Amino acid sequence: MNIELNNESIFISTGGVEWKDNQPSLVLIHGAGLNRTVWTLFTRYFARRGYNVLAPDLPGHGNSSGSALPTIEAMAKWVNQLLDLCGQENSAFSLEDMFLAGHSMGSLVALQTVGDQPIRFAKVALMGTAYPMVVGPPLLNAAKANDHAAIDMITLFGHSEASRLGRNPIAGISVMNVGEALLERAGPGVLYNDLAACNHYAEGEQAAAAAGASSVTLILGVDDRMTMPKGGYALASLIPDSQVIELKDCGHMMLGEQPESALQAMLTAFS
Amino acid sequence: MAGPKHFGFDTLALHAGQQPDAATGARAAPIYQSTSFVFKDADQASSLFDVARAGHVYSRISNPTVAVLEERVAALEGGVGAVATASGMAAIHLGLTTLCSAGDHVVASRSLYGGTHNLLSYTLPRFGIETTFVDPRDPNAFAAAIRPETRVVFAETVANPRCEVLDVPRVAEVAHNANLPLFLDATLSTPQLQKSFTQGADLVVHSLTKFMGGHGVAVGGCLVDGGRFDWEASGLYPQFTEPYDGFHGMDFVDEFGPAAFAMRARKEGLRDFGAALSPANAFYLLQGLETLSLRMERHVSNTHQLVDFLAAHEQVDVVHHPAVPTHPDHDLAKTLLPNGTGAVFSFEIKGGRKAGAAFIDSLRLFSHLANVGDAKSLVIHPASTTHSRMDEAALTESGIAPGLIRLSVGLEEADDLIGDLSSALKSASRVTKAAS
Repeated sequence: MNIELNNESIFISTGGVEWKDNQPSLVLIHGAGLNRTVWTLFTRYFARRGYNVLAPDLPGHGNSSGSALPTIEAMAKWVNQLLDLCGQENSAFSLEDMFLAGHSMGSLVALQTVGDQPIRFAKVALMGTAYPMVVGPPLLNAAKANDHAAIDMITLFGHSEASRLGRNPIAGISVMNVGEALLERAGPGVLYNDLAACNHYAEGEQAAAAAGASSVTLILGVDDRMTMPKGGYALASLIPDSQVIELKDCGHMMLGEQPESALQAMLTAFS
Repeated sequence: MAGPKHFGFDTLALHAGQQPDAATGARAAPIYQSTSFVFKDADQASSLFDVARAGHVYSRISNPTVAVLEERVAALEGGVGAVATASGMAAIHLGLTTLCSAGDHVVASRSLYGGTHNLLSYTLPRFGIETTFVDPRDPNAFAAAIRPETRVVFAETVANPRCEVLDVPRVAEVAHNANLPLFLDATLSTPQLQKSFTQGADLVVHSLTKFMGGHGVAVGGCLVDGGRFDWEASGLYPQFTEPYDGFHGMDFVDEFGPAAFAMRARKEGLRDFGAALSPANAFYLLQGLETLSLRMERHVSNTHQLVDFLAAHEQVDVVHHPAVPTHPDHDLAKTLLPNGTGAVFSFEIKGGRKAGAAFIDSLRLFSHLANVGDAKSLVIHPASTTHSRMDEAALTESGIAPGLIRLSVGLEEADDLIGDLSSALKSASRVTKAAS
């Protein structure tokens, strides 16, 4: 569905199910240059398991209009604005004890979102995450030039070797090629904007400390070469009482590579 | 930046879509000869039906062995997904019916495999889908034939039997200017010889029965989604961009983005038309795919030697293969298919139908049958077999002369094949002389 926020049309996936009263809200934030479709299996699953699901296309991504927001802090502020708006416009969408998950850049957005308003969120899953989330100059420069090499780097580094050869759990679908096609659809400058936002994000310590008020789980791919597990553990050490779940045989693009393991980890995080 | 690289074509041909079997360690893709798959629990069962988790339910919709083949073909083509079918014709039907409904229109090359011509000319019109056929060498003809109700431009990368090479980039531009996808039958080129998606195609179909399988032991097809066509922006395809009552109100573009076509084809067309590939045939076809490059190199090498022999033979009027400098697509083929235009071509024998019959009956290594792309060399007389349902006008339009002989060059020793052709041409020559 579409919703208007700050004079821009924002596209939201609800998992194909309308929000209902007396259900907890689950918010899912996508990664750099991507859109809500990375969550499709998850939105559809949780929407049919008693959650009011909200997986937005961030501004300037997917079907949402506007420009990509320049910083993680701005994205987090926008997410909280979006939640406020959804709560105002639909009484079924509860703003209390929400569940929140983010992948990659979305994990930093989720961290900052919960850091800004920790009392809103009961459970948080940070997936494919690390702090700091350093992006190397070759990738940044290629993205800045809108060079396809940036997409190639993300595609190759983002998937485990097993996934690059393929063994996709969704019949007939090439996870790697879908990811590449998604990144190709990002508008000019969007990928660079997002990667730069990750690279420059420096509020993680404060957000992590505040996020300790919620129950935070980090879900890390053992074979992740974009946000390596040691970066995830470094972030976990900053979040009081957080827990870590490792996904074996899994790279950075865990939502496509190992959707079943990722789902089970999310269920654990939200239990 | 040092790091991983995309795996090469031959590596993908051997590995894509498969890891050693988790249960047994089997290196080859196991044949999961099972109609259906046990649910772990009620939650997983309902999730699979809701497309909320990944997995297999019933082998008409998906099967683990078939899925390996699908992912491998998608990887070789560079597509986002693929749907394997019981035959190449089933894949063409699945593609066209996923795109078109009653009242819609197809613009197609007039140089098509006879079965495809039948589908478009006679069968689909019964269901309200009309086709306009155009000269594949004239991109402007494709543009001129497009109507408001047109939903797809369809052609073969290399047409059978006269080897017309489609100018894929130009025809793709024509289609895209009209917000239409270009749907190609790439059976004769294979992804080893031509990168259809890179050149502008949006959807590709293969008869896996032919070179992709290569052994002539299994019939199968595959429909591949390039994932680059923007169904939303086109505005012509509500089946992808609006809720589908036949599948829980699913909006395929909203849910699956670049893979919307592949998912719709599976969730509707494969489910309802049911032309699923068997796991056993998928296994056979996977064995063939493993050696696709090696075989295509030999097919092409042998073909070039036979083309040279025939082009110089006094009993032959003309050879229709782009390797011949006088072929109309000689230069285009060099650009679009730099490693060769394939191993199916035709020539016209002097003496017409009788000489052609004598030639075919005299061959010993070439097998006279209705197939192409086998490891063994094949021959047929199109006017009396594959294209027999075309009337005289359609035959003439497609360039099927009475003396036209189609060859599918196999992997035998080229000298042996030339010897067989030479001997048969002598027999044909005797018929020609006797008639004159």
